[in-house]
Amino acid sequence: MEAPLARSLEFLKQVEAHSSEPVRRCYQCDRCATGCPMVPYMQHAPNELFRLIQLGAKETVLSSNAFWFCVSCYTCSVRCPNDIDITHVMDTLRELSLREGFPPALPQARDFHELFLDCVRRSGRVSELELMARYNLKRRKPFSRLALGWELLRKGRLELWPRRVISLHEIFAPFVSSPSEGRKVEGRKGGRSQ
Amino acid sequence: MRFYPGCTLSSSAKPYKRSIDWVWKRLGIEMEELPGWTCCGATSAHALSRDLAYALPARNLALAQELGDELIVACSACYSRLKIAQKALENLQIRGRVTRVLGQSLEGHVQIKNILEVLSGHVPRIQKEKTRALEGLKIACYYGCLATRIPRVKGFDDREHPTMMERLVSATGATALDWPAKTSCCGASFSVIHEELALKMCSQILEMARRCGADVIVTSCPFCQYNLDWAQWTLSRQDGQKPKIPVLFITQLVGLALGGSEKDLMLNSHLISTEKITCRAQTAEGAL
Repeated sequence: MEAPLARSLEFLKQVEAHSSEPVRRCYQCDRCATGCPMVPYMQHAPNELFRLIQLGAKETVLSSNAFWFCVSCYTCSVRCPNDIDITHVMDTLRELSLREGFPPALPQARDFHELFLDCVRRSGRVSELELMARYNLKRRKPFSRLALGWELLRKGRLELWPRRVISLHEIFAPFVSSPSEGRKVEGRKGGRSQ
Repeated sequence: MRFYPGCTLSSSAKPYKRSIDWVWKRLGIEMEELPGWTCCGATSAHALSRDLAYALPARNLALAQELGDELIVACSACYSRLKIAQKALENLQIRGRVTRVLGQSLEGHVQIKNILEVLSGHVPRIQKEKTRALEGLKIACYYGCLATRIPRVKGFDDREHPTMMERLVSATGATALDWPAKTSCCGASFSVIHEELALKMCSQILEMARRCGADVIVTSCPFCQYNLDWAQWTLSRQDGQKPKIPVLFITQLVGLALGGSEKDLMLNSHLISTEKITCRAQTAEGAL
């Protein structure tokens, strides 16, 4: 258990700098949590997470499952009376958490997003069939959703051949690494030790 | 007008693309695809990288800006990402970072429009030129999250209680229901990464539609359409009991009213059969 207020402003400033959102404004009105469809599955409701950020409880925040269960519906963001884009802060926390080497609460979500982006990097667009095939392989469930896939294919709702429009390696390079290079976000020095 | 279709419209949301093309041709609206468009990053870019989530839409905005045209977007996720990125790029720091990566200036302003805005401009024509009256058909309009909830951006409709689709439905002669789940979340990509949870979220929406007496659900979002269709298909394989509600794209419904056939509008491509609506439409044709 971390000592509260230990590094209080340090973490708050880090989150605010990365997100450009005024997290300090949160005054616990609870509107975010009331509207959030995912709160029942979160270890911390959005407002709880914000209080913890204000208190500097970095470890607790970045190891929470909350931002992995955030479905990005933006209900909290448009309802926040303090005009904090809460969904965007959730994105920030997910990114910081991965960068600092915390294991993801939903590893399949991280895999899905990485594979999705790899499709975009290589061909400029996403082929749902390619993405699902690679996702199944990655999750070691090659035959998952076979009946569904067949049904969609039969009805003309899956494109068989991925279209290659343009390679977007240059746009991606500064931000995310390709799966073959290994994750930039993992194994960073000074990650989890605080 | 330039059209940004997004990736799903050539795959799981092909009926959306097909019905847009048909309705546009019928109404004489001219719209060309944005040449060289690429993925907006959808749900994955912003999940992992803040700046990539701005750079991917920005690349498309740069393409559109050269053509100096309105950009029409059908997919709610694409619409949301493009709008969010455009707003963020007003911040000079963010714009600086993204411009460096793209190697292109982002000075011009592109007017991004949701397809519902374009379509609703034709309400009087739809009302006048419809060849089938869909009277008696009770419809739940489902907007989902992303079309109307964009932080700090003035949307095309109310964030919590949009009504644009209802006006379109009324123009077709059908009845738009007042129901409380129209901007609830279908679970988006959770239908892949956490099926159980997405099924639960979809079930709540479907149950609400059922209780309000909906014959059909219409939507303008590819993910909402897919998830609600998929959830019913999956659940019926488990219990096989509940009455199923077909989930149509709004352009398919408008197309039906304007005389489109099942094939024109790809109404035979749904996981949950749309037969009862096409039958109804054919009967209506005789009556009109």
